Amino acid sequence: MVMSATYRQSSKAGPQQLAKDPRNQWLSHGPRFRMDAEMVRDIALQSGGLLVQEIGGPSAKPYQPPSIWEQVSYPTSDTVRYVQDHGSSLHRRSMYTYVKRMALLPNMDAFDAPARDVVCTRRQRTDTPLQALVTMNDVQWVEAARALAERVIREGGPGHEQRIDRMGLILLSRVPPPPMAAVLEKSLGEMQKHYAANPKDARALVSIGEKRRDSSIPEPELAAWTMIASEMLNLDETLNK
Amino acid sequence: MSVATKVVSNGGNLWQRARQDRRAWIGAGYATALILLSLLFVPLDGRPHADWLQFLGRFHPLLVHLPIGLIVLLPVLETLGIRRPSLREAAGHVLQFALATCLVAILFGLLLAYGSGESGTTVTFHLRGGVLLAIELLFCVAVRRTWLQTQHSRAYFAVVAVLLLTLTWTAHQGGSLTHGSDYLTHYMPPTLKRYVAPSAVSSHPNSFFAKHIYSVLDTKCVSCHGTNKEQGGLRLDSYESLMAGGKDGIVIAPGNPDGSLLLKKVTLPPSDPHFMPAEGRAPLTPDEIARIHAWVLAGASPDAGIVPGIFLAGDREEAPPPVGDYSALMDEIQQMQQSQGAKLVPVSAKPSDGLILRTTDVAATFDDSQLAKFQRFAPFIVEAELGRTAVTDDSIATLAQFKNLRALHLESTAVTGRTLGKLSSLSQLSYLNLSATRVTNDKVTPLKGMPKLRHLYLFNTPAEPASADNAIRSTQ
Amino acid sequence: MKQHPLCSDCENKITPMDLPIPSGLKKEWATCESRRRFLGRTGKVLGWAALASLFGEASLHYRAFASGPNLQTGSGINNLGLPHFAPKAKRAIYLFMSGAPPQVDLFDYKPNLAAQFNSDMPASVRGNQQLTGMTAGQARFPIAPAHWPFNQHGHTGTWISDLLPYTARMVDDLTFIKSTNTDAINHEPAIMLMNTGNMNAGKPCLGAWLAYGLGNMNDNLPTFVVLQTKTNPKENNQPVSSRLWSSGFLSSEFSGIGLRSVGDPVLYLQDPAGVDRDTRRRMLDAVEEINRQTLAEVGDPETNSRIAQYEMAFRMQSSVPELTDLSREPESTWDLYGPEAKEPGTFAYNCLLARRMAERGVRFTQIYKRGWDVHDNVVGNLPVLCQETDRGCFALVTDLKRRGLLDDTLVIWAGEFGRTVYSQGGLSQENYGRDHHPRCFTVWMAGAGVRSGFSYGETDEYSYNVVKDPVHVRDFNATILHCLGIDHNQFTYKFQGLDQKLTSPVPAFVVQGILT
Repeated sequence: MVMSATYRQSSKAGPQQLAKDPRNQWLSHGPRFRMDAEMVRDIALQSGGLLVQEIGGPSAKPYQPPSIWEQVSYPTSDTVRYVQDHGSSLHRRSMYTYVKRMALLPNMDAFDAPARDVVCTRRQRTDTPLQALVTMNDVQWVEAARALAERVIREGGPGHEQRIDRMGLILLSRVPPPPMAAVLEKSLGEMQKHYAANPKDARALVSIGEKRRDSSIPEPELAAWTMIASEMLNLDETLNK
Repeated sequence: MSVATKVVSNGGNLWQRARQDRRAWIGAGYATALILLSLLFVPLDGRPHADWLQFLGRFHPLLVHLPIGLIVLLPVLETLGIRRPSLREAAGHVLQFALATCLVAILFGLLLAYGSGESGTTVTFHLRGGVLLAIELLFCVAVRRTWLQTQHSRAYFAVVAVLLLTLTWTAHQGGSLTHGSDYLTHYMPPTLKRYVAPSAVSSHPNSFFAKHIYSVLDTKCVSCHGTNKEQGGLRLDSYESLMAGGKDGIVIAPGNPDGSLLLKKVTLPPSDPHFMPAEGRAPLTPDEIARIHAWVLAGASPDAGIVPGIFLAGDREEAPPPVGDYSALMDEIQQMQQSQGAKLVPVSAKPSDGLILRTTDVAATFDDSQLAKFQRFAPFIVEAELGRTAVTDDSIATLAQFKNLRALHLESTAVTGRTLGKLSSLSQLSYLNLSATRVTNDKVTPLKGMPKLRHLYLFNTPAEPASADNAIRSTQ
Repeated sequence: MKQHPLCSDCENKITPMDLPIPSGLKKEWATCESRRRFLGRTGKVLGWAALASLFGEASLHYRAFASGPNLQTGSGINNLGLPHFAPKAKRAIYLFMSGAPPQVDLFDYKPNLAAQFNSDMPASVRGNQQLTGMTAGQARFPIAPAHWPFNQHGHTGTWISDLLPYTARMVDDLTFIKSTNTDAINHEPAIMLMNTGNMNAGKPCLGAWLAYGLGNMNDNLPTFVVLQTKTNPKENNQPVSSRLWSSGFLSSEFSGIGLRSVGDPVLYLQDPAGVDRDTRRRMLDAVEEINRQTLAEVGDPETNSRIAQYEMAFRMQSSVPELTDLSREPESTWDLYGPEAKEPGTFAYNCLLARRMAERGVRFTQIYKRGWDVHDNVVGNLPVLCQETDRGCFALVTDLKRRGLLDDTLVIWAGEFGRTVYSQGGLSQENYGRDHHPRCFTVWMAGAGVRSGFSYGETDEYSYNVVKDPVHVRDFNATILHCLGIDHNQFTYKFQGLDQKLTSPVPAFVVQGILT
């Protein structure tokens, strides 16, 4: 299948194609759709080098906002309280996450992870503001953005362009084209200025998440790059296959 | 010969001689006429009397059918008797028998009227009619033989016709007494009913009293407490007479249902002798009693449109008129739907239900000039949600152009009410929300005359009514 | 043996070439034929079924997304043709009393029962009803009359328990349905039936149907909001689950969004520490600009949608805190709701939020109050439950009414079933318990579309069976949809070969008797 001409089509869709086949039912262009919930999280983790490659083992309980389980549970249930794991369990692959069907992990739920009370032959692919809130504000993603920022600072060399290119290669499998790079550069400049003037904010931002930050990188710098990484993690191109 | 046969034959001889003694008969006839004439003027005092009188009197409706049947038979026999002499002879006997039974019926009728104490115009008419009928019968008996034999036979038939008319009228009065004056017309098809004069209800045909209380009284009470009869001196066929009461005092105490005699009487145990409606008539249903109860509690008003807490199917508001088709403007409306500005939202899938102007998303910046841009959609806009927007008093002039506007939201705006009077041209406006604005009572007054404005909200304004939980006015 | 029509082994020899699928796919199928054989024949039948269902769903998912990028913005005109007719109510607030409140003690006045204290309920009343395992073994079914007196209130003279003094003050605004009945005798299936129209999981709930059908009134706030009340550990709190506000087979954007009382009102709403609004705005500007470049390059309409969603998320970050910021409420609010309403998570607080949401155009709000499952110690628990909820209900209805919102808002109060007239466990003058009872229970509604000061339906002298005007839960849901301008029979969504609707395939009828 993956070798077929249909599959290897470009996903660019011209106006004529869109008019005739808006949902790509006739496969007039390459398929392009938002990735499943678990993949979205795994990519965020892997891009920052956080993803734990261990296979198998007990279920993991990553970050979750407080009092999700209490609101629905029977008072004497053994899953009335969510006890979060620490250390590497926070960064395991999403398929190892503990599932309580009555109260799904909210960030997975936001990305249409099924509730597992009925068979699901195909997941929905919705677009909601909650998804935006998850990828912008969830601890998991902020931490992953910081890890990604640390990685590109380490691997990308000292220059901005190289670091941005490195980030593009990691997330998008390509070097960001000049228009995209220009936007990111401009944004970087703004962020750097902001965090240089607000060191307390910088410290607060880079302290999010239990993974210890790389203390060799100055905080304002790291904070600025964290924001750029966050921007890239939120791009449509990143979230889509 | 035995004693019995002697008596019978002597009696028979006496009768034969009496029959031939015309003077005796004529004398008896004049005496009867005089008594009857006097009866025309005897008053009935309207109070019930001894039970035995009532007992006997109740045979009147039974006995009265005899003279009715006979008097109806009379012209038939007379007409047929033109050809057949035997029938003519029979007619004579029928006439005499009719007179006799008529007199007996009158006697029992008098017992009934006097015994039960019923009064009223219908009773009087019925009595007079009956007496008149008897006098006419007497006349007929007197002149029949002579007029028929001579050329006055036509005159005789004329008298018989008058007799029939009198009978009809009298019998109708009698029927009205027992069954109510609308007994024959109650179920009349509407096409015919137009020609029968409807009973006047009240000066406020749309009031709660007229629509829901009066109908109960009319059906179940007025036959004994109305123009035809006035039991206990009480008439219930109009608001004034209801409130005036009767011989036992007032029957409705406004605001005090427990102290209202009418309600007391209809809620007695059915076996109680004072239970109303009396005499086996259909009692009031609990629903009807509740309605009267609520109406009295709310002050027993003759013209109030609604009574709090009571809702009846007939109170459904009439459907507002359709607003025309905005389909031609659909593209523009779709565009507005998709954009982030103020929207025009259809009320339903039917275009004739109109559009709603919804400004929630841009409330902070939606001002008078923006509102003016919607004038081209004015005929189709039935609801304007302008709460929390930046509109001012100047917007009212624009809104007055929205002729089909039914609901207007102006809560939490800078409207002071200065220009509110312009809204009185909106004939369909039924809802106006001015909560949390600075409108004062004097500014709101011009609106209170608007016929359909039943929902006016003034919460958190200087014009808010004093009563704690009633910021809703209904204007009726 | 008759084979499945899609089975390639059957005599009819249906092949993919005969299916209504795109021709491009047929060609692909032809070239992949050898691979298919390799995959094995056991997978074939299942694969066929899945394939068919995938295509079915794919073509119909299109319908779920309607025209344009999404349904969250630009609501109103949609391809579904809703509302079918001019609605009385634009929005609804559902106060759900999870656990099942006892109707005999609260609303269904049966004065004759006082004389029958401790007498056995006649077996003829129960008939052949299968009782729950909790009481089926009882030797006796002693009648437990209501422990608290009833009195008449309002112009309508409605009888209501002394336990509900605040509700008593507003009886003239309410419609009671005393003949509601359901099929399920235990909580989970009953609560699913009440909310989704089906005892099995996987169907969308009432709120999701409304969000799908009617859309949003305020683009800056969610369409369907769920509020959970803090549980009282002394009460018997039956669980609720996110299934109850799930969108089932409808698009997940229609599922209920929980408005929480602890932490962020909406999950992940707040920017992380170190990111202020300005920074967030700049970040979003950058993301949006790049997304627009992607859109220009690739042409996927979903990109447009994503841009809109990010904007909506940003707006929600200010509109939701504004919604939950009670600092500018006038004193009259606290006089009405009571001081409890200042504390997030209480029922009164949730009612106040519901009113604020009604003002701001949220289409459907559902408040859950757990703990009504009084199997024992009714005398101890019920007054507390009433005290926790009574004032809030009254305050909500009164507040909506005085602000002019009750004219187009429908307020609903309901549990999942009723409770037995006989005592579960021991009966004494001081205390008793009540078991589940599906055959009759009482709900009330207020506001647009329903009569005021009205009672519909009657139960027998034991409040055990419905004797007049039964209203099944299906009919109840059909009526709610009707008040909002929707014909429940026409409002369908094709899934698994059925035209699914909220009221399930069993016929349901709108209760005309309570409508205005």
